[in-house]
Amino acid sequence: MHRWGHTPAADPQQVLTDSISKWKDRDAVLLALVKKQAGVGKLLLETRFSLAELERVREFTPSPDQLKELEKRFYAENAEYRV
Amino acid sequence: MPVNFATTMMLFSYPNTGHKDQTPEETIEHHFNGSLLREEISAFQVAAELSDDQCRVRLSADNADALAQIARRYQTFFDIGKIGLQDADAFRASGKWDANWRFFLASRGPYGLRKSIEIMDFPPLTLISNQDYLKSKTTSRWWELLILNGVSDADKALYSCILDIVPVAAPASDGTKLTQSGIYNGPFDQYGLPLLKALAQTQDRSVRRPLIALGMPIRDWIHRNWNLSLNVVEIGTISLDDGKTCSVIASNHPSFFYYAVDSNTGDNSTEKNIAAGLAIMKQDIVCAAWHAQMGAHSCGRSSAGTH
Repeated sequence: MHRWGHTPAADPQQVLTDSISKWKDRDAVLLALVKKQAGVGKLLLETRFSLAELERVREFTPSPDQLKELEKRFYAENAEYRV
Repeated sequence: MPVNFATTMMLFSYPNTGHKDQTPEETIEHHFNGSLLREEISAFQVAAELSDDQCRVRLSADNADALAQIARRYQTFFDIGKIGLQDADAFRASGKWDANWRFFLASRGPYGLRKSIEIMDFPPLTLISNQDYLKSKTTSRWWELLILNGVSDADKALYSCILDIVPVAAPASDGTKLTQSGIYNGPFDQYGLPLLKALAQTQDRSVRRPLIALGMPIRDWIHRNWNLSLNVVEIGTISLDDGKTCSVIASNHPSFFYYAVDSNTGDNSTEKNIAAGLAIMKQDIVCAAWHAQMGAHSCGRSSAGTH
């Protein structure tokens, strides 16, 4: 019996590794999901996914530190339940 | 449970905003009905009876064994809720309480047969008027990620047993005010820590349910209580005061995504917004995959009678 988590056979670290692998190199799917959840109209991008879209946004990918700063702004601006 | 009428009203935040037409009994039954629906209990009935010194909620259903266990867990939930109420009174007495804040226990969630525990900071006031803790855009968004990771639509609510480290409903724009009041620095630990222990328990004494730490205040709470520093998409273990350990993953607040996709203006703002949203989505989808897998076999209809 594993001592972590609840699913007895699951090793949390292995599950995390598997989870990362599962979604690796699936940017096209995730981009479509981003557009769906955010509202395509707001993003002003084409409804249909294209590699060109990914190329357009890739150079603007925030660094880990930029994401942390963005998270601080999120809380500082009381945006948790703005939606 | 033996509890005076005024305390019962506080535990259910009666009257719920916008529902003054409901009697206290109707409000209590409304919240129990919602929870039992999400426990996947079939053909159940709920009847609340109140007196000056007691609140009795009669539950009946086909699956009596599962219902009895759920009833015990609900009793524990409200017993700890009373501690939270005392904590709220003490915090109010300290002068740091805002007049717009209301004591509010998570309601209409799965507190019996849950699969995992989602830890959050505070509930927005709108949830009182919604009369449904899981009726929110943030929860809906997270459910979509769980479903993409194999969780069925019927089971999604079982993953959303929410523990707010502060059972205080506040205006959506009061996040900073709450932080600055010191409310996250310990005044509600006598409520949050026992509730975490109770919710994480399973029948198997050696294991506990997985925890999802949703947002920075929760990462700070974990660091303060367990001296464990986690970044987003990192896992760790925490020890409960019964000596058992839980695995926990640090994730973003589900709303952070919505903020990110609208966070830039000016040149290339569209590309910057979508890039930020994509970066956060990549983190969130992995956390949701871990959430789905770790909670997959933690409970369910087939094992309902054994938990």
